[in-house]
Amino acid sequence: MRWLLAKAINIPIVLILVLFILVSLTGGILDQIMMKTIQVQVRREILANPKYAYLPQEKKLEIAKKLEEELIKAWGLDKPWYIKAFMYMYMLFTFKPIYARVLTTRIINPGSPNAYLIVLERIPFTVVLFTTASIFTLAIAIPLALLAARKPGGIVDKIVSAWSVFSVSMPWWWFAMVMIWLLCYKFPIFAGPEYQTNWTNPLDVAYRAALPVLTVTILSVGVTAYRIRGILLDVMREDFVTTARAKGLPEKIVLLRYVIRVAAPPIITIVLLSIVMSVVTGAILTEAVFNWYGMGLLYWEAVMANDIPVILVLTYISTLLYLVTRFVLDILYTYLDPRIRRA
Amino acid sequence: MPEKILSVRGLKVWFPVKRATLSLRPKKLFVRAVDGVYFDVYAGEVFCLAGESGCGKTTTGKAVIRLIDEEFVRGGKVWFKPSPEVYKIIASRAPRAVRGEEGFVSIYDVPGRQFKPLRREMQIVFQDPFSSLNPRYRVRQILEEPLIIHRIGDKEERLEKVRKALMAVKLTPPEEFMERFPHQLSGGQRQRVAIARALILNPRFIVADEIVSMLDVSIRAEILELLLDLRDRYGIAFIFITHDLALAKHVCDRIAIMYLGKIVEIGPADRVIDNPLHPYTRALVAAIPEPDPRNRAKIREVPIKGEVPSPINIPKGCRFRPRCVVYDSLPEEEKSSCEREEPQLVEVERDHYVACWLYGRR
Amino acid sequence: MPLSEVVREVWRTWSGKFSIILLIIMGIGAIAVVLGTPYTKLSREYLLEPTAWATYPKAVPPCWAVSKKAQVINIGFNTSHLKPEVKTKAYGPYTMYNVTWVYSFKYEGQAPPSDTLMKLIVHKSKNLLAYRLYVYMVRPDGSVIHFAKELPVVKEETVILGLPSAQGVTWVSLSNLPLNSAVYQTLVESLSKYMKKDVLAQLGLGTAIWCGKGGRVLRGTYRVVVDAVFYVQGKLKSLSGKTSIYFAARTLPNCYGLMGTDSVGRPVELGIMLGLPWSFVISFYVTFLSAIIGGIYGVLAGYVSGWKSEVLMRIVDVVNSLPFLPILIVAIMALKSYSIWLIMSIMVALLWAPPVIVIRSMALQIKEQPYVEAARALGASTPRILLRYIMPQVFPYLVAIMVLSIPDAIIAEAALAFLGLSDPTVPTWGKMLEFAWNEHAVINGWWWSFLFPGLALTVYCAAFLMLGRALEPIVSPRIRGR
Repeated sequence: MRWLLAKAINIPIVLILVLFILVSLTGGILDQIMMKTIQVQVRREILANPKYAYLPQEKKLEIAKKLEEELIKAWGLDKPWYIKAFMYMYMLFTFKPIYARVLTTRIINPGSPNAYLIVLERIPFTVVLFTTASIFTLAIAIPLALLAARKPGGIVDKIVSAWSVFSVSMPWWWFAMVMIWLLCYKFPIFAGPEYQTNWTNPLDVAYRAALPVLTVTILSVGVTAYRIRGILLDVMREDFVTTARAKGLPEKIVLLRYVIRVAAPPIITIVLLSIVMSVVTGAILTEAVFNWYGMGLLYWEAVMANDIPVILVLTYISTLLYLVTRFVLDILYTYLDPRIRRA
Repeated sequence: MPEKILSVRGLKVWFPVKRATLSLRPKKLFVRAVDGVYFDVYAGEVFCLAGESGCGKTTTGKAVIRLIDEEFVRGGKVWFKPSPEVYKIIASRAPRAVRGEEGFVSIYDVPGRQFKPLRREMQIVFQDPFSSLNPRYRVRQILEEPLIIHRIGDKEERLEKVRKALMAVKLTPPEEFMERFPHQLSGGQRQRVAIARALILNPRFIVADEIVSMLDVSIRAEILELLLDLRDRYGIAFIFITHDLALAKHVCDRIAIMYLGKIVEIGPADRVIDNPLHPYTRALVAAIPEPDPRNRAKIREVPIKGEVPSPINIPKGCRFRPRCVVYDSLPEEEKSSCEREEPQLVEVERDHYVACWLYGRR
Repeated sequence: MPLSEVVREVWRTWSGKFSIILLIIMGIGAIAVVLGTPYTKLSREYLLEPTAWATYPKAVPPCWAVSKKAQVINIGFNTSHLKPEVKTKAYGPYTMYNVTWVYSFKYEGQAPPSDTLMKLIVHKSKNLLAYRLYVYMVRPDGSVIHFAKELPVVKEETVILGLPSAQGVTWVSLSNLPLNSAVYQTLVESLSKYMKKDVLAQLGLGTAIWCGKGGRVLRGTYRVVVDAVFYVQGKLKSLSGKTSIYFAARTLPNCYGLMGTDSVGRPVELGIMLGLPWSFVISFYVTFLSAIIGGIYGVLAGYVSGWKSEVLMRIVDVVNSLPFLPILIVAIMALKSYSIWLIMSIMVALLWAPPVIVIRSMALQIKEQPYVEAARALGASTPRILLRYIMPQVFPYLVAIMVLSIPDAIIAEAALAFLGLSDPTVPTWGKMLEFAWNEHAVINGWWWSFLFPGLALTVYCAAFLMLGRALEPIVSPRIRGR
């Protein structure tokens, strides 16, 4: 229990440092954004205000400049960069609204430039896509890994190994391009990325999801099966398995009763972690290629629109998600693995 | 009376128990591997540290040559008498360390940076000849290494010294062994190389940590003979660490029996083993395998019970009490001192000390 | 373990053999490309000079994938070398001349060409008035395609098709004619008599002029007819020297080389070739530096103890918690520089951390080995122990880690390129994929322009990955035992 607490305290420390890195990278751009906001506000207050219409232009400019300086001081933009870095960190940490330059929301409160909302409405799509794909992946990979581990060096093992090499070596978005070309245009079976989808209609979304899910599943089965096979083989080297075999238990029972039970916690951890990882990073381009309304596509759109606030919030949120999930996985692992629970 | 070269006074080595960074209970727990040890070693003798595994004999051996980080040494001093030249260097560089008996240096009071000259005078040979030699070095490089570290001689001289050291450990002709890798040698040969490495700096004493326990029985005698031969020829003292009392009796001049981080009996080897006084020593001696095959079938009574307690929770009073059969047979009124206080070493006969209330009350 | 033995052990496995052969081929290929070709010139042309590819067919598949090939014909004539047929008619003081030249050739290709390049230049002397030009092609089936219809010519030299440049007049592609040009409008008008608008749009003008209804190729004799109508005051003694028309046409093949071309005509195989050396540079720079930094850091973190080790490992924790690609994107966008060296250095700053954990645990293990303790007993200093006792043991494993992380580096670069965040002066496979995607190669079915770059990436990564997997059990201390 004690080390869980230690890990829990680890999260904010890591998060603060990650934020610090993010903010120090984007600090200059954030400064510009803040300045722009100030200028807009000043224009509204003074230059375009009928109250001051009688004043000569010079006078107006003077007042405007004064107000601008005041605002800069009030917002702390005149402080040295490290103070500002902490300011921005605090801003992110407390989820103070940050406004996108170009992008807007489309589902929640359509048209809102709040970057948090923009990110938030995408999360479910990414999660749905990769969770579905992972369920399929597990359903195929676990039996495959069991078969491969039963005969290391056998034909199944070789296939799994080769498959994993290629799925790691391939740019996933490239494979997605090939799949789209083959199955949407060459043999038009699935909906292509240009298909106008109503993202609030589950049926429509499911229709669109078919090809991305298929593609991601094909790619991740190789890696997942290879990893599970590795864990299984590690467990199978242990003495209690040899003992079980020596007792004359059939191989099937040894695998299903003895090996799987011990191998389950690391397998679950690895699989869940890889889902989170793909949600957080791996999926950026794959989603973009499929034009799937998730976080990955948002990255693509934000990069194309040079919308730094959105990228900042997106990275922040995904890091947060990743850290929290890893923590949850740690707890889960502890719960599943009796050896750790006791210690 | 030979010259005293090492004097260990109340040495304590405690290792903190590893715990999470953020502990809810700030009280620290320790593994008390060595818990107040006193003994002296004289020039040219083989001094034996014996006891069960886990009793702290190896830690003691490492501690007296400062292979244990000073942060774990929680008390006591190790006084070592180096050669006059080294003494002079240390006395000038670390005057704090030489405030004891004339000619002695308190090795844990020497700052780490100044310690290097002392290393030449105290060496160690490890139990496992397979892992104590760098697998990537040739024998020549392994033996040259100490000379390079201490900047002794030029290339020619160093080679000559290597050759001599190899001859001293009877790996002849030296040329045949110099260019080999450790994995091309047998276990006994490797242990000889390890001894040669310890020897090459002309130390005053060598800690020999179970050096034969991982060798084939047929080779053991040769290595032991080599050891005694080296002692006779160069006057090197050995701290011979072993769990094998039969072996100890054969090799050692004096012996100290350790139990749970403390010496319970110390004295001339033959007397301790022929006439064990401490109940623990008696149990150990009774457990020595019988060399006579006719008697092997007999099941002998070993006068001890239970298991070694954890060195984290050492029993109060006499630490051997929970396992002591003598304690059980004592009348109730005599048990109290065993329960209350740790017995100190007392001289029962000449040079033969025991830490047990059975003798303390005399 | 000596290197030769490692190589022998790797060679023993099936995948090891495969990867070594592949790597040798790719290595030799990369060296050959750099030394054997004008590499910098080619890269510059490839990336920055679209005009260099004007005479290449655009977006054509590789030749092995095309069964019906187009014929490449290269015709050109100047009317002054042809025999004219002249008709005259007097209108008061003026005489109308109607001069006709005919040039015929054969097109025998089994498929229409992918495009047609043309030049059409008219020279006339000043005293020819109200000059009108007709240029048309009579096709084997008798249909007529007009290039110029009643086109007025005023200047002494008029370039009707072609781009004047320092090297003379260059070719103009019929498929890429400006929509407002007279030739374009004339061509569309006459072609739409024979085929539907959508077929025409799909084929492109440069192809359509060789096609009949439904887009099938017309084989046989073609006649180019040039007809000039003008007025002269009085009468001409001789026609020679008064006007000449230069006409040239060149068909582009409907396939190219081994891997086809992309939509601006750059051969895909050239891109693959140019990308190979950079793949080596990028992956080796990134993985080598991060393995070295991670290795040293890991050994240090394993050697120091207490709070120092704690701090070192917490730093690693932080770096490992950074999502790799997003941070890379943020960093590059924030620094506003797409220099490849900067991109690679940021990758190093993120990729050194993963190996630290393994290396540290190895260092911890080695540190406890008796021979390290023996070295300490001999008085060896900490740097000496780190450098001469621990590093050599860790090194082989570090190499394996390096080899295994090569795909990460190269795919990350490709991903950045796909987002447009790549050095504009560096030809990489990732950039080819980006170009193909942005030119809608997937929708247009130009499979060669994205299939081969991706395949190159896959094969490159797979070779290293297989080598790494073959290396791992050999150098891994866990499997080899203590």
